[in-house]
Amino acid sequence: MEISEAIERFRGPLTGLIVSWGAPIADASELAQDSLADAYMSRKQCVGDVTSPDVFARWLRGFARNKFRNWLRGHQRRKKYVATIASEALEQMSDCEPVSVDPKLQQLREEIDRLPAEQRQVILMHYLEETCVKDVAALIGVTPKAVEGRLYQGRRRLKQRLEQLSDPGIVLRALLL
Amino acid sequence: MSNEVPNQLMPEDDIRAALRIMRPDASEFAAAVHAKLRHLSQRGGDDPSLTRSTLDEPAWLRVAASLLPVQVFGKSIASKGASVAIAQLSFGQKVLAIIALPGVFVLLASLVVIWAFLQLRKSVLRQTGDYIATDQMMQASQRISSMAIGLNFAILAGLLLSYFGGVQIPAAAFFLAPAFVLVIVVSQLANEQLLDRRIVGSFCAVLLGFMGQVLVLMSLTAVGTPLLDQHLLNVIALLGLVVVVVLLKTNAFGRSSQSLQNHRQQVRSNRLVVVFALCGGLLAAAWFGRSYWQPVTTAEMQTYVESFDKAKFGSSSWEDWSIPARWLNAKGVELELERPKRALATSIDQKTFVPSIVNYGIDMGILGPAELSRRFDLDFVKRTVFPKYQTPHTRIGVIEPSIRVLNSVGALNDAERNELGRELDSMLWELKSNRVMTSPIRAARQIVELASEIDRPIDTEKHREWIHEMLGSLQSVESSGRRKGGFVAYPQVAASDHRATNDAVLLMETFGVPESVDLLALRSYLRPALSDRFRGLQPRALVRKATQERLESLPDVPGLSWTDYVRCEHNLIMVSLLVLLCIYATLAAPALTQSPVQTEVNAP
Repeated sequence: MEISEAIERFRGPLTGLIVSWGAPIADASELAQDSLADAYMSRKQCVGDVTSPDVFARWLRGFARNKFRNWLRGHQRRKKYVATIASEALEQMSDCEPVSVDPKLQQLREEIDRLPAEQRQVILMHYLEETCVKDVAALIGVTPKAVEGRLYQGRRRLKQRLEQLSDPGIVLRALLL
Repeated sequence: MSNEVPNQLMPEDDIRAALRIMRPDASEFAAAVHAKLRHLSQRGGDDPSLTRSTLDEPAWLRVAASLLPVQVFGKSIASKGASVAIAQLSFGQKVLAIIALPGVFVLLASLVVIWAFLQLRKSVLRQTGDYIATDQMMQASQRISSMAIGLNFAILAGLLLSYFGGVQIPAAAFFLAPAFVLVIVVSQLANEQLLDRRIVGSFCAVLLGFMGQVLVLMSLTAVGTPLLDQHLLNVIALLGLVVVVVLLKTNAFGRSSQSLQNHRQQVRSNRLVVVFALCGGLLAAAWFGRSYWQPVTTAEMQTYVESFDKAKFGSSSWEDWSIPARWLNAKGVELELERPKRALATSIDQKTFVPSIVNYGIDMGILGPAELSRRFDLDFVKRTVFPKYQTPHTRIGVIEPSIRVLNSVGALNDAERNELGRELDSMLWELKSNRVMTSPIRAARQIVELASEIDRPIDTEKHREWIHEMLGSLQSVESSGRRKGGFVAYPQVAASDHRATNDAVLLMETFGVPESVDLLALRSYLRPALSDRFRGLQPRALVRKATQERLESLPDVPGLSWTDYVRCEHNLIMVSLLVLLCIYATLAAPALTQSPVQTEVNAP
């Protein structure tokens, strides 16, 4: 598998996968770049047929997981010793024009974050870029059917959650009870 | 993703819109990956720690290796590193991987054996009675014997499954089961106040006797990469059996309440058993351990080389002769080669004369220029070299004797040497890309040696990388029921070949030892074997010995350390520990006095 094809095929789902593990998007993107570069450079050591996208996806996932774990260890160490600044504060300090945020989309993003891990993972991988279900499945090592099932459940749960939140009666009943 | 039930599902467009803010910029992303690739390429390309041999190890071993300091594994593999994607295994697999590492496993097994010693001691202290009823002893013996036989069959089945079923279980695991069962048996006997040396000793004897037979099977299957002849395991099991039998029979008599005549008869039969066990056991142990007390020596190699007077299998026998002969020559041993010289003359005079045997005569100096000029038509020989009518790959074998003859008699001028030097260099390059239809290691060795002989040596720096790659790829690391670790003669063949292995070591003399070659496995292939002296000293054994000595003489081959032995000989360690445990259990169990009736003390 050529590097350009690998980038095109796995850029979105890999970034989504790393985000689903808990890395912020900026770090996830960088981790995905590192993983792709390392996996491609070491492809000769892969015991399987690395020209097959399925095999390369599994090979790539191993690198990504190791990279993420290293990042997580470093992140935890940094959190321990360095005073962190909230991202909102950083935005306020920057000179950039404030970006208008659609409250509906913001709410949807929050609900995606609250999804069960498996559903959240496939939602992020599939919809971050329009990635085919087969590539998502190859990257997480499940069947395409399983991915479709998780996407279906995730979308249904999101719909239910947002409907509940938009219905004031439901919110009131929940508060009273 | 289909929208089968659109009202119940969140619209895909909304999800995409929500996640758009997180979408990586495609061009920036690709540029960053390419920049990282360029950076990695400048740093040296592929990860050198991931060599082929480390990747050929079982996954659990590679993971285990990656979790422990590399110094644990010994000097000869310390340089290879042990990178592996640990994250690919689950937590349980990781735990198993660590336990399965030979070094860690031996440590854990040793702890288990120490625990077994303590448990046995505790059980012995629980035995308070001094008498055992005959019928009780009979019953207990029968029960224990059937348990021992069942256990042995279970171990045999496990070993067979592990070895022939392709299941990656360290064989040492099977030596732990008897230790556990021994503890259970002794503890049970102590609970019933039936802990008697005869019963425990019988159990241990059956166990070790059967174990000895299983170990013969293990020695024959040639699985793993041990550094010592695996028949040593049989020797240890046999010696353990002898000790247990001797302990059983020398301490058991004199403690029975039978009549004086019966007692004397018993003593006599016991003495016979002891003598038989000592003689038979020691003889068998000596036979199995022949490769240790009677190793192949330099003197034997010299005798073989000097006394070679008949090539039983033609050029093949000459090649087997030339390998130890060349090594002795390189070591500076003075050789008297009158008999090989006569044998070579006879071989050359035969109608079925194979030209390649001339090489061996020239190598050893038994075919001098005068002899060569007298025997061969030099004009004809020259015509076989310079018209290029042969394909390059088959040509080296054909032209080698001719070039050597011409070089030996001084019939090559500078221009011809230059031409041959270029030709040999191109043949070597050709070998790099096409090694299917030839024996590549042998051809490479022939080309390199021939180029050196005509004083147009090959540029080793230019060819080093691919020669190393070729050697790494042609080392036989697969278990095919035969010894692994040597080099294969042909890429299509899986089994190691002793001549190809010698050729590979000769190439290592010129090009250095490749990192991709597993030296422990290679040493394992070259270890002595019981069959070395089957119907006299075998030429194959001498070839292996000469190759081993040549390998050990290379400057970039590190010596073996004790950790290498721990890594490769965990079966040996486990068998030794088990034998010690059996001897201790027999020795520690009290010899109860046998009484014809059941006493109150012994009543369960």
